[in-house]
Parts: sequence; structure tokens; C-alpha cells
Amino acid sequence: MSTISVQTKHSVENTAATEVMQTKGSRKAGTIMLIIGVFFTLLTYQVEHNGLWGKLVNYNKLPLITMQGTSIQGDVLHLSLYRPNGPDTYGSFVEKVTITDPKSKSIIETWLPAALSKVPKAAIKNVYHYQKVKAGPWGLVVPLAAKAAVTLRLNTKAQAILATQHSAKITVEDVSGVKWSFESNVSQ
Amino acid sequence: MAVSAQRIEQRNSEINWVPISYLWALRFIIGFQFLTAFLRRYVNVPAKIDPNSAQFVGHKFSEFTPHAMWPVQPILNAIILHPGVTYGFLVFFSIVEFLIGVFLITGTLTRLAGFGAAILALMILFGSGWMGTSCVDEWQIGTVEGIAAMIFMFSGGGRLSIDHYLRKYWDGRIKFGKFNIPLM
Repeated sequence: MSTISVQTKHSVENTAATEVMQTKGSRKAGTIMLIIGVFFTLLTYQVEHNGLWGKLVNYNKLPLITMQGTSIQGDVLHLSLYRPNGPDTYGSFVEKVTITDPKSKSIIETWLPAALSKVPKAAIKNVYHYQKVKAGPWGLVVPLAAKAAVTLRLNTKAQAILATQHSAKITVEDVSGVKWSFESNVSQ
Repeated sequence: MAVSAQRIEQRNSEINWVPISYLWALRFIIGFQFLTAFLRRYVNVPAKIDPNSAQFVGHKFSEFTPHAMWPVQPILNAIILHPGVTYGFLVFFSIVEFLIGVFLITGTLTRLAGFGAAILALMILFGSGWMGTSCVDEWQIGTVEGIAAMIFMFSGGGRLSIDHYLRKYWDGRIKFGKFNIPLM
């Protein structure tokens, strides 16, 4: 009876048997897809956006400039700029760099667009080949993922004040008015 | 042991097969996404493959790095630090995208193409999934495209495919030791 049903192409038993087989096979495939799909979706949603716990983030929205590695040596400020956040389509624009004396809390050195737009190419050491920090007509242009050390020379007055200090606050201001600060080491 | 009529009805409605023809539209769209990724570079805007242009795709690879996930982040970092490698990688990546696009649209080695598309989508997800200014766009693209591509690893192309004709001459499987891998 069963051999006949296998040979008969459209017999009811055969269809039923195939269906059971296909059901089992497709359930296995479906389960594999479900596990892989859920795993990668939840993993990336959490890692890239803090979507499951923590505060939801979108790193692509607002620019952020970090200054890890910034230092003052003698008469020179080595300003390390890195922009990990913000839109990929438009640059962040640094319009103002200041040094604050930690003792008196007063600003002892300021670079404005006139000075920042004239920073020579040789004074900007870019880490990456494609996304580069450069001097634009109105200040320093810092595109997404760009990382560079910018060398700025201090005035003699600021230099004299910092000669007795071990640290100073460096503040970088974006054209939008957003400010980022970094406590920099001072060495002679 | 009588099964209630309601139970039988439920079972029948849940066991209904989704015909592979339902997936043709999806296969076309996924294939088209990869094919046009290639065409945008090599036909529409050739500046994207000019290493000296501001539109060079290398800039994008660089933009992905700040929040890309392991292992894509270290790979991208190594690539963008060597301009020659960046160009080579871009050409390789574009050829793979072209082939996957054409293979999915035409249904040629559909299951293999589905695998390739899923891997590419996963790389996109891990590399740029953190981007997208309006609706976490790249994350949505990476997950949906990757999981949609994965369906074709299991379903194959159906009747509207080159595979359907190839099957007359070849069973579409390659044996690899004890593995017997279906490519279509």
C-alpha cells in the first residue's frame, strides 16, 4: 500500500507525507532565521543605539569634538581634535579656541576665526587620509571621523602665566555655540 | 482522539504554504539595491571611485569608523590608513555587489547570492548601523536587508529564475567533504 502511494504522484498519502516532511524542514529553517534575525537585530540596536537599556542615542545627529592628547609645551598648544559624532554630510566648524588659567579662571589666550582660518597646512597633522581637518575661510573645518593635531603658538603673556602652572583648560567652540573643554597638561 | 473542527481549521490556516512566487518582488528589490549601489559609483557618479575626489567612497569608509562594531571597525581602520588598499577593497566590494545584484534579480545561484547579500548586509549593519539622522536609517536597512536576503538562502528562486532552467542540467549542489551545499 505504501509503495503504491509513493509511486502514485498525486496520491493523498504522499502529499500528506511530503507536507509533514516540509513542515518539519521549514520549521527548522524558520527557527534558525528567527534566532539569527532576533540576535543581530537586538545586538546592533543595543550596541549602536543603546536601544534596549540606557539612554537612546544617535551618534549621527549632533557634532562632538574630543580633545584627548591635547597638551601645552612651552610656547605651543598641541590641540588634538577628533570628531566621533555628528552628521556625515556636513562639517563641524571650530570658530574659537581659548585657554583658561586654572587659578584666576580668566581667559588668557583666544584664537578667533581670523587666526584659525590662517593656520598653515604644516601646522595640522592629520591621522587619516580621507577625512581631514583643514583651515576654512571662517575657522577650522572638522569633518566626521577626522582626527588631527593642530599646533597653535601662544602669546608671551599667556606663556608667562602658564610657566608656573601644571594644567590649563582648553575650550573649543563650534560655530553653533556648542563648547567642549579639556583639562590639558602644561610642560615647559 | 477526535480532533475538533476548530483545531483542524486552525491547523490548516497555519500550515498554508507561502509560494516562492510571493518572494519574487522581494528578490528583485534586494537585488536592485545591490546592483544600483554598483551603478551609482560606476555609471551615475564616477567621482565616487576617483581616489582624489571629495566624493570618493573612501571618505564613507572613514566616516563609519567612530562607532562601527567589531570586527568591522578594526578592518575599516586598517583599510583607510592605506589608500591603495582602500581602492582595491572598493573595487572588490563593488564587483561583489554587482554580481549579487544581477544574480538575485535573475535568480542565478539564488541561494548562494542570498548568502552573499546577507553577509554584505551584515557588514553594512556592523559598519554603519549607528548612522542615519532621521530614523536610525542604516540600522533599519542593515537588519531588514540582511534578514530578507537570508530568506533566499533557504527558499531559492522558484520558477521565475535562471536556476529553474539550470536545474535541467545540474542539481546545483557542490560536495565539500561530508557537506553537500545547495547553491540554487
